[in-house]
Amino acid sequence: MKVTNKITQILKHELALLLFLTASCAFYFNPEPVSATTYFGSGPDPLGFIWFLNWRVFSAQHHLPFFFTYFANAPAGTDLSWTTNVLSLGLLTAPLTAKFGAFAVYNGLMLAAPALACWGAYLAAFELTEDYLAALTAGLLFGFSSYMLGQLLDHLNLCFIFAVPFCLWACIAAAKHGWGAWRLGAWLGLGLAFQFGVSQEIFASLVMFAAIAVVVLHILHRAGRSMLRRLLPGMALGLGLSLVLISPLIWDMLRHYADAGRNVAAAKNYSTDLLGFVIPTPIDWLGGNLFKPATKIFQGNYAEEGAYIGLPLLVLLASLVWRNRADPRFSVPGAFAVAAAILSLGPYAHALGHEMSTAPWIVAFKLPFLKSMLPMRFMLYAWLAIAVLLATWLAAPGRKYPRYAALAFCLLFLTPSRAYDRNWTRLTTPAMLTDRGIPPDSRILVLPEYFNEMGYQYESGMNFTLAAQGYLSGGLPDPFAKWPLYRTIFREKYQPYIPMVDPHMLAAFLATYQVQYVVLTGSATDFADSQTQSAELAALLQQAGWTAVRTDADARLYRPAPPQAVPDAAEIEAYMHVQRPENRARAIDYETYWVRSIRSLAHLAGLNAQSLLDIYVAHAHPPLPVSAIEGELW
Amino acid sequence: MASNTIWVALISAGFVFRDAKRQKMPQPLAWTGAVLIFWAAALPWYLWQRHRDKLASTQPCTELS
Repeated sequence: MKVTNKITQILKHELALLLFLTASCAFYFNPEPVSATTYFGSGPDPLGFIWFLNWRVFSAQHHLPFFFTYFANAPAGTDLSWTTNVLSLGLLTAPLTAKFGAFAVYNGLMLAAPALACWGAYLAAFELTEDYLAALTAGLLFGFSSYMLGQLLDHLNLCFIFAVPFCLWACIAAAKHGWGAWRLGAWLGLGLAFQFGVSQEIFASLVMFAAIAVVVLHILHRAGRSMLRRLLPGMALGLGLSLVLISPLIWDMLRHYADAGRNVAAAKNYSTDLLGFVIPTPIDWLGGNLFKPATKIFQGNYAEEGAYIGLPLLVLLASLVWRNRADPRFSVPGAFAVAAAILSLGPYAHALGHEMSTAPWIVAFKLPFLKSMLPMRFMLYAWLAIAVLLATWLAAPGRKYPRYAALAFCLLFLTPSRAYDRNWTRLTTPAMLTDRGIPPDSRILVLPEYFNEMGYQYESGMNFTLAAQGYLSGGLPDPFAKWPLYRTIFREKYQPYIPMVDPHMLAAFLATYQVQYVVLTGSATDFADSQTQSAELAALLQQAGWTAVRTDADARLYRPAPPQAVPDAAEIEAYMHVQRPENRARAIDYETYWVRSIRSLAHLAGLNAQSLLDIYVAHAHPPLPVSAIEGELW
Repeated sequence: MASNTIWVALISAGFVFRDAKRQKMPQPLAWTGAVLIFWAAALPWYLWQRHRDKLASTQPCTELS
């Protein structure tokens, strides 16, 4: 009888997983014809994940380092330990990646992520309530929460969070069934180690929020303190075991700790807005577009805005917690959700993008390791607590129909916008990169850079290395970014300053890093219009002595006309002290303003403008050298 | 901008510390810390608590007949 019950329960859990997978696939399924390079998500981040999934296979096949590559940012290379390298997923799916390709595996993982998150929350809620329908609802709420919907736009590492609710399930199961420390430690160790391999940031925040949960439980659940004391050794053991399992990666990260700051965005720019809890973003179907002008000015971006709970659900939650404040089943998840939401405000609380107060994360956002966490992402834990709290409420004795009806009304406000969330993108790689038009192992530069280069490299079969570029992490790569021309030629927003770049400097830059080919992407129309980035870069390359050796409909291939000599150290050093083109343009604007003002003043006062300008140049120490002002303005 | 917010929080926290001690409010240091780290929530809360305490202390005693 007991075995039959066990089998029935396992079948129930499997049915739930199947249901969640069906929901995820049905919601996100791509109705358009799919090509081999169509991927789920938008922006440059998915291509980085696709590259990382492939790197696990490629590095193993070619006996290359696991956490270092020369394929990006050559010749300096890139350390991969402080990047979003999705190690666990790469290792687990390596056979599939080798067989079906990284695009297919990435798409499969993205579709599986919400289903697994749902399942994890379902397991935790079921363990707690033993109510199938309530657990299914909790699972759906968590797996399709605002946090998940946002991260599903383009962050595989942040939406593959199955281990978070799984660890909660392990703790609840250990408390309920009286597991020993070793059993709980083993489950938690595996879960935490897996999560570390998916996202170091989620691992760190999971440990932090587990500690907060212990404190909240200790304060609000007096009767549960003895149970908590029983669980603590298992939890500590789990953490220790995970640290042992991931120690090689941790060692590598500690060795490259200095690189970490460069890759991490500022916490204060990724903080939940105070109105973010009640104003929907475009990822939400109801009101998302209506409030777009307001949500556009929130910190971060739509992928990170996981705080939208909606006013009806907020009211429901507040009333539930208030009415049941004496019951730890409500007060503990309620207090925990509030703590997570407050911490997600970051170091400074914002309202409609305006900074208006200090916030509790201010005590932690400069500390080592903690500074690498983006507060907006803490909402993940608030959502898990909300899911558990609602499951408890739905499973409580009494009439259930009105509760489900009330919750359905609240969830209507959280309905995802299919048009916005189901975003599939197709990568179109220039033919010259895939048809072996470039000799194997060439070092190339792809411009204008729209962060697609990692996808191009993968599509070429890793046929070339990328010089001075390779979007695998944030920040500007050293030592390339020290060159004054770096931002101007690599960043779209500096396009107006491309004509101000010294062609000799560009020639020296390319020669220093032994770039063999430059691929300029763009159609014939782009190159015909002199105002486009492609056309301006083409003109600059020609001035630097590079010529087009192949012209396709979607790109041009350049080589240096005569082979160019590598500049000596003194020449490189001299280039480093040249003012950046955009700074020079700003200085000229500033000087123009002053020169015009002095001329107007002289004209009004009937004085000699030239002598006044001479005095200005000689004594006001303008930011440009006198010769530059004289040359460009006078 | 960040520095402005910090200055406002610091000055408010200083005021709260002095005032809490003068009003003999319990745990003046805790109030000061709260205002420093979450000004927008802690300062209104402190003012409300202060007002409540003041009202309670000025309530006339019930006369026994």
